[in-house]
Amino acid sequence: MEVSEQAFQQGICTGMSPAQALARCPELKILHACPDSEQNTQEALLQVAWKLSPKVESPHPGLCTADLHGSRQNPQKMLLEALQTLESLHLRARAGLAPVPDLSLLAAHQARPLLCVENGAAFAASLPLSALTQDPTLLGTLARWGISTADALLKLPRQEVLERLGSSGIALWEAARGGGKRPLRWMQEPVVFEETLAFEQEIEILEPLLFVLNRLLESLLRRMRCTSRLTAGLELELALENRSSHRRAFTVPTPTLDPAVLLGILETHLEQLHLEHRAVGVRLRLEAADEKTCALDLFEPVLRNPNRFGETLARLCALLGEDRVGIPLPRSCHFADSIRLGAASAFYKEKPIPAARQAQPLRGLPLHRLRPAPPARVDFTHFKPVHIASQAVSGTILASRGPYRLSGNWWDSTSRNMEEWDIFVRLHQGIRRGMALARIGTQSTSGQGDAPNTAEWRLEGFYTASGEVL
Amino acid sequence: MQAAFKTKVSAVELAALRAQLSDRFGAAVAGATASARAAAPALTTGIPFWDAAGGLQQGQLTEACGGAADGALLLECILTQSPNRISALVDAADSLEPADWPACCMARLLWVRCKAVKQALHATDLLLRDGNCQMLALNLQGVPERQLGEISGSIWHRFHKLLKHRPSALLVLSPRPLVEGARTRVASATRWDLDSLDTPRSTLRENLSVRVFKRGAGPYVHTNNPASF
Repeated sequence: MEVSEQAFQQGICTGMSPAQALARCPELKILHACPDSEQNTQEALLQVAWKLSPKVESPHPGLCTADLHGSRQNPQKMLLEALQTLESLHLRARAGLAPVPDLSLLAAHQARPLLCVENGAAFAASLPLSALTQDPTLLGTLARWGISTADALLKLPRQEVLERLGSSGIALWEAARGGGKRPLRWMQEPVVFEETLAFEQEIEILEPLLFVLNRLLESLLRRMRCTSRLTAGLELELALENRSSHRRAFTVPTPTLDPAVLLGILETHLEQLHLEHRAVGVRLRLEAADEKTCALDLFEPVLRNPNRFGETLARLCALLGEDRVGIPLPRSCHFADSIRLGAASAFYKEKPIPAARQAQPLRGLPLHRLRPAPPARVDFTHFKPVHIASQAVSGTILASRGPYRLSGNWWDSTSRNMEEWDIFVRLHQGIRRGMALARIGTQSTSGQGDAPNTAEWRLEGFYTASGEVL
Repeated sequence: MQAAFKTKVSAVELAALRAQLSDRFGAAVAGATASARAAAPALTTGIPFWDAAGGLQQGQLTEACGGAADGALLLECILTQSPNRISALVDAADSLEPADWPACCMARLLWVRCKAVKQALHATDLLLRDGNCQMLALNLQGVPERQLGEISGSIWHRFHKLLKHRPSALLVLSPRPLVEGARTRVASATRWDLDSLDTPRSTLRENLSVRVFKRGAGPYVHTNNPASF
């Protein structure tokens, strides 16, 4: 597809088969194309170009043209900075600066690494015709006429070039004159930054995977810095050896360009991840966001470090489970122990969840619920509980309030009938003495509740327990 | 620019200036000119005795010992004082019943539901290191006595160290004194009965019997505030 200058000098040219090329030069190195790397390179090139101007055209991979008209900065300085940025991404590039797009492309081909053209006509005229066109038929015809330079071609009348050589000839004539102005076919700047890497060997432990992710992150963040954007989200996809994949998306609490924060998010997730198959590739995608400016609200509590809080939440979820960390929300039904947990990420959203309105003033002591509620044997006399025996609370029930009956969901299979009592117990559990305020409950799914003495009672929780061990 | 304001002031003039400021602004200047170490910022608790004794000190570990109901009411008082403050509750026994708490407290509360004391201590360690929560409560009420006995004293020492340079306050709710080296210990032993279950919550909070003990170089000393048991 392409040969280096040294290979060309050995007689190797494009279109040859590898066997033919190796026959001419046994020391030849054949580099195989890597589509992922080429895609990453093209994206890096475009992002650097978009930093120069929003009007960017890229007709071929590895080539782009940016319109710098109207820019207040020095174009040469801008191009030099762009070349340095590409150099930091380990990409060698050449740049050409000219009044028209086609001339700038010619200048880029001649640049080492930057060439600025002020007089387009003089520059084009100095070029050999082989730099202006690759058409062998056209070049051959012109060579037979004794024309090998652009200057010589321009001496021919335009009309006669058109009549004898056709459209390709007139295009060459225009290019030799310095090219004409043409509008660029702008490309839409994407807001997604993505890199993919296929591993040479499968990875099954964390450290090498983190090393690779760190490298990808640094490359993506360098590209993102060119666009003056921040990372608001991450998407990680691990390709596994059984052709499946593991995919996970993360939200960054506060958009940032700090690689340590982003790597910390990935590391926290990967530390508790267990996969049955080894990873053979990775795709990392960053969601870009514009930097937001907002006025600090002196009276609204804000997190000191939202990104660190996000990482702490992730570690807590890894330690306890996703459903064990969150904001308690008002329950959606009146059944006992119906809990709703809101996402803790609401703390670092711009508009936090407002507090629910208190339906009515609270009465009584808050209950300490036992989860799971242990079974209890409750003895009733004259439909009042008189004795309880359970693992947590055992003793004589001195006083009770109830029953508090509740039923619901009668329209479907989850219908329930509940009965609860608040009891005041004199504890006598082994050597323990004291008093306890507790709640017991029973639940049935039948239409009518079971008789108290035959129902399955549970110790729902206790309000308080006091006593001493003798 | 600072050099233009440098001027020589005699000691007499300085003393006269301080006296003038003291007369005009009183206690504010007295605190600024005191030679004693500056008091750590404190969170108001809503409990008069406790606030008079300094409140819930940030950067310190405070223990509240007593019954489960007392601990819950103490915590509710603190949370309702500043409902916009970001707080966290590490629930070692997973015993919180959100329906029994004021809605304003729950909106800014991070509830960490643990299954064992070790998980709760680990979670507390993570949240202390995070430093984003201004008030952190570790609820050990309802934890089996065997698990409480397994808590090593070095845990509390580590928490003290973490708190030293962080703007968070850690409140440990325990059935009996557990925390070694707590600067402040709040003891409560209010007697409750079935009638308490029908009493308005605000009345119950007022009926809390609380004693605040401060620790200096020696043992805990009861603060000079009226208490009732």
